[in-house]
Amino acid sequence: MLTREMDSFPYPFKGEQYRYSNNSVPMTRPSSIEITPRYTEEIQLKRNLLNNYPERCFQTMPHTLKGQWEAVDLVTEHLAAFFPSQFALQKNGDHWTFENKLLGEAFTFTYGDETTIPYQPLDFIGRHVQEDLIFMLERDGDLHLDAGQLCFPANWSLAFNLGMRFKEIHHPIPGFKEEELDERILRFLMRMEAGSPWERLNWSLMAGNKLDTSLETFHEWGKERKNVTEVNAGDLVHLRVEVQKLFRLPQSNGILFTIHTHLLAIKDLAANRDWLQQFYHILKELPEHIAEYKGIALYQKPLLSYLKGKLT
Amino acid sequence: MTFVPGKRKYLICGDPSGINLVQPIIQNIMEQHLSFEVMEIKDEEKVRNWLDHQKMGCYLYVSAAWPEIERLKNITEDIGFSEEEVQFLGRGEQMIKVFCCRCHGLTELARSDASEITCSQCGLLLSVSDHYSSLRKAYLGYVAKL
Repeated sequence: MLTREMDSFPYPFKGEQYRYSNNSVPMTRPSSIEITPRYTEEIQLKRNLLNNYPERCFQTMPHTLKGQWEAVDLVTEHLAAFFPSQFALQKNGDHWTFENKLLGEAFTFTYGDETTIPYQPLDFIGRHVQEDLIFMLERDGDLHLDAGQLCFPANWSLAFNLGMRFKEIHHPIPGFKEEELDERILRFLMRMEAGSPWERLNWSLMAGNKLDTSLETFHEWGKERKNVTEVNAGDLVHLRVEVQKLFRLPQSNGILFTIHTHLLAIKDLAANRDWLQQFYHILKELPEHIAEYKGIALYQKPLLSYLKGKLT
Repeated sequence: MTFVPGKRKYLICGDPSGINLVQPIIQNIMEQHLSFEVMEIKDEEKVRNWLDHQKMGCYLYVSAAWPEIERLKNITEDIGFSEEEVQFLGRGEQMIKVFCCRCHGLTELARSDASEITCSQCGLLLSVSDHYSSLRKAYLGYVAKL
């Protein structure tokens, strides 16, 4: 891995053990988007997935267009403000021009008019950012997953989860409901206000280095879990970290989640002695239900042996 | 089914055997001189119309064979009854749908058979979970064997 990538990797661990928690913190640099050296490669991958598997990667409820446009507004503003040498945005009333200088593309459209852009609004802007974009709408006193562009999911299905309430989405996570985390996080999200964005990190382990680990293709990529040995764990297993950013959209009163996924081979993680030590302790102590849900159980032992070998 | 006290009016809806099963609750309502109406499901439009014209504060009991329950659920959702305002009692074998994690195809089967099934669309062996989507009206089927 490139040194600059290592330096900016969102290392997620604190302390000597890991438990589920609401680890959201107020954002210090309130950009919904980050651009990494892998931009061009990942955008190409995203666009290929969207073109080849549209039902897997993009789903919306019909009442979300207004919220989707708001997401376009937020994301294009951030791109132009935080990355002015790569993006530009000109607004002349509802007449907007968005320029992606990295890809040499420019679009002129009428804000609020879907016929002036090539895709639905969220799908349109999502094709310019490495992040997955999830739009949750507040209705019936609950948050519903009502639109999303999802190319790099951590083993879940947007097509199945569409329209679900927050707690329904998280139903499969063992221990999540029992510890009332679903209720606490939902209340936290419902209290979120426009102009005060939050972010959190979520992690899991992957056997392999694919970003597009959808539930729909689990029968293919999931098999790698069985191939992990003490010898190949450093190359094969990757720490997968999602930087999730949360923005309340004032007009629709929805919440936009942007999810930027990063992968780090365990051998690169192990090159940092502090990370190696901390990760080893956390993995060794990880409760069974968390290891199972995060897809680690099948190769936890060979991975621990690999890490132990690196420590001695 | 349980009697929920303190409602302005009680609505009972079902097929004849179903209404019979709600008799203990009807008894309870009558003893307390509470307002209620009973409607037999014969004509769906009539039931829809009847439910549509009810005022706030009603509590609904629906008791029928499972296929009827599924249809009535759609109607009560459409009209705007919340989950807290309705109790359903299904009779006989309940059919459920399973959403294939690979191809999104739906496979219908009896709830009592639901553990592992073969997707009727792509043939993948699925393990049926308890993760339910109200939009798809189906349970998620995961890859059963890697």
